[in-house]
Amino acid sequence: MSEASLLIEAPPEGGQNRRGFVLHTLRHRPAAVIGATILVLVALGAILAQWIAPYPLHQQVGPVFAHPSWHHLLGLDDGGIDMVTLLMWGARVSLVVGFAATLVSMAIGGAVGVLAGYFGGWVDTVLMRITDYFLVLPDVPLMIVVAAIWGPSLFHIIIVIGILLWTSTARVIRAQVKSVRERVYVKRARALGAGHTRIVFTHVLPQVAPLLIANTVLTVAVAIFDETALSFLGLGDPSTTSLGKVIENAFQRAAISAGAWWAIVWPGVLVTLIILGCSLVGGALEDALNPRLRVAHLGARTFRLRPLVGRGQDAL
Amino acid sequence: MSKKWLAALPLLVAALIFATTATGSGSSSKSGGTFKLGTASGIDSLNPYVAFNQDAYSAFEYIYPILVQYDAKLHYAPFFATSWKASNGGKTWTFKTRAHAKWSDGKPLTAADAAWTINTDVKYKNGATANVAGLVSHIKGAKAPNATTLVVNYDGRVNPSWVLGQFQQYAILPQHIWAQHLGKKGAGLKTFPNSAPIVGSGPFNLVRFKQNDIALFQRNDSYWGPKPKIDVFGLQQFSNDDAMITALKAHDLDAVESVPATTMKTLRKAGFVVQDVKGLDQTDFIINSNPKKKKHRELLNLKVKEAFDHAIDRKKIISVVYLGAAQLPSSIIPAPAGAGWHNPHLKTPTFDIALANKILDKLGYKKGPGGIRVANGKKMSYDVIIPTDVQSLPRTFQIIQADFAKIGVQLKEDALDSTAAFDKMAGSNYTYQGFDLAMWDWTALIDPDFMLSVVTCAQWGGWSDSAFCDKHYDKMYSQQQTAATPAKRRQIVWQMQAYLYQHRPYLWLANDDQVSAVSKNWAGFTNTAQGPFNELNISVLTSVHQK
Repeated sequence: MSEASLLIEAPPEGGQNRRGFVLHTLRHRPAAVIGATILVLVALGAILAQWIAPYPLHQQVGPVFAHPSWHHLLGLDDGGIDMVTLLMWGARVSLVVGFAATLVSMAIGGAVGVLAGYFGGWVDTVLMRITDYFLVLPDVPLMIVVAAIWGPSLFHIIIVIGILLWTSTARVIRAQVKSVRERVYVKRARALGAGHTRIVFTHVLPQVAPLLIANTVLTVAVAIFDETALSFLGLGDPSTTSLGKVIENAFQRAAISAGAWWAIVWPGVLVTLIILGCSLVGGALEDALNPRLRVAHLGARTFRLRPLVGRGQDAL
Repeated sequence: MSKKWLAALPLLVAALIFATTATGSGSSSKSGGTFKLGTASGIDSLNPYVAFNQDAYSAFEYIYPILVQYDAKLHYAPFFATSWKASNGGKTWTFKTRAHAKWSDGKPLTAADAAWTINTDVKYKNGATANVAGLVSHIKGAKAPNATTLVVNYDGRVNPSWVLGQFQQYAILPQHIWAQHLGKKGAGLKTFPNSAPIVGSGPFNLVRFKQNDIALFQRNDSYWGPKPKIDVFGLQQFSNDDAMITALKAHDLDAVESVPATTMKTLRKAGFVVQDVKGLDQTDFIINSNPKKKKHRELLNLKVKEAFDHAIDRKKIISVVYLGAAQLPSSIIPAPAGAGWHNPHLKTPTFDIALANKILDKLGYKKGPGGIRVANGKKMSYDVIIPTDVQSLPRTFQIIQADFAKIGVQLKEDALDSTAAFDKMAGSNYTYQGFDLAMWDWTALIDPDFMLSVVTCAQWGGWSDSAFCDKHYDKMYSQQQTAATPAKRRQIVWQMQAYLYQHRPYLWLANDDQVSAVSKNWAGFTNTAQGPFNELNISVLTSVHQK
């Protein structure tokens, strides 16, 4: 390993403020910028699909599985529908499911983490054992079972993914809450007569919110991947066009044997890009916002040595 | 449950065009070898009282004695029976059967086995043997006065083509094996696994079987009829088409039973012989025709059904979904069923959105918000139940959905696996109140009896998925079974098709072709309307051989 990779990271300019630290981190992590660029581009394409997609969705514009051409840069699918159009609309559904499911799992994970960490004792024990239980359940098989029982619909998919992805968030948040709870200012607030609700909402939540955000971006990637997998297995909503559904359609019509690789590869590449973008951005955010990673000698993701200096009130 | 594709099963039949079989291959043919066929369906059970899938019935054709078979022109030909005649005004049928035949365990195979099988099936037809009850209907009993004579007594005059049509699908079981498994009221017949190696008497012995995987058939050298040229026939099941086609291209398989339309071109290019023949499967758009239907009663209006029929772009469905490998349908009995059963006077409804709109306008169903018509105060917006295991349906639905929007009718997809789909359609206690529209497919047999039966009142809770129930139709159905001559029966069968054409429990969408592929290393392998591995006769696997 070269010396260069063990550079001592300079403390952020502007010192104590968190925003400065985030910008600093992003600046020194081109990967995060690449990730953010990917996500912005995909999101723009998805949001503007109805105006900028080259053809209407569901409209047959050529022969089944037509090769890529000037008019159809990525070829046509098994219904003679333009792949570029499908990818834009597909990304829209995938992103919606990804973010909505993540919201569900953040709400659950955040609540469980804060309650367990803040109250401790038997509340902590019970909630953490439940978390452990969900943690050891194999996600995808369970999602398949639940999706099959509830029936295929976008809403069901969102809920199914949401209720299975919250466990790691709950654990991370709980640990951080446990530390915040013992801080002097929290004790002072309590001594002044603040109730649990006030302490949680005004003193604890703001401290763990950045962690929650970093976790969200990482969870979105997993949620989008899960949605794609479920749709590919035929458990998605048949009336919507998600990226997994596009792949499933092509697979059902034996696209690979027919030589129409573009009907499967492009949606696969797009899913990969979205997940990659989320991971890069989420990783950087986590690095920047997770105090535990910051105080370590070795940044968990950058593998750079950092000086052990206090960086404001939330450092230990 | 009724899956339509299974229709092909219990009764099976079908087929068609058969290339002339064994004769021509002269000195150049090599015998021996293993012939491996890939299927996307597979044998679901080796017990005839349980089996559903066509592959299972095709297997029975090769391992059990059957009285009659179809010849290349789909006429009845001798098989285990060498001749037959009716007497006593058509109430008694006498079959002469093969002499000196043996089961694969060496025990003699005689007419007594046939009589025992028939009598057992009649005795328990309301219980354990319900799966084959249709084949023995009207039979009072059977006797075997000697080893080569079988006498079957009917409760009245029965139509000759109908009798042979039923026996063509009827596997005779070894009495010395199955009589030990009757159990209580015959219940043991359904639970007997009949596992390989099976005691049978056909051109092949089934020596190994693993469900959802593989079935191995070995040539039966003591068979009384024409012997296969190959040593072993293997049927391998695949759960997805891509894997199956890849195995064929890698020569892990010698042939594939049904080829997805999208891969026909690449297989031809890769040097395989792709045989595309007109088939017996038809996809359909089901309109719940339950006369006692509570909701959306406008769907019982024949004018509404007619308007729907004109809003289906069948040519587009055939070009997009089947890439041209399908025919325009017109009747419940598809044209390739042969033997003149299909009524040729029925024409495929035209695709005419303007006409469909005119019919609905005339009924006074005005367009409301969102361009959706309102009938009897309710929006014309319906869920369409679609079984997920029929791969052609999602695309077909999208095409229909777009065109129905143009006539002010909203369709929403309700995709369910086939068991859940049928349960939802039949509803609790088989009242057929829970659905309006659905899509599925039926695979017809050569003899029209089965397809015509699925829309009778008696099939509620059985094969019925349209809840069609009409006394006049039911009367015609029993008349065709007992008509005096084949010509008279054909006349009634044609009338029944015209009646259904007008009452439209089904709107027929496409009559898809049967497409098989085989490696160039093999000769004598022919496709039929029922596929290469079929229950029409034993010609394909007894004539296939290495080049």
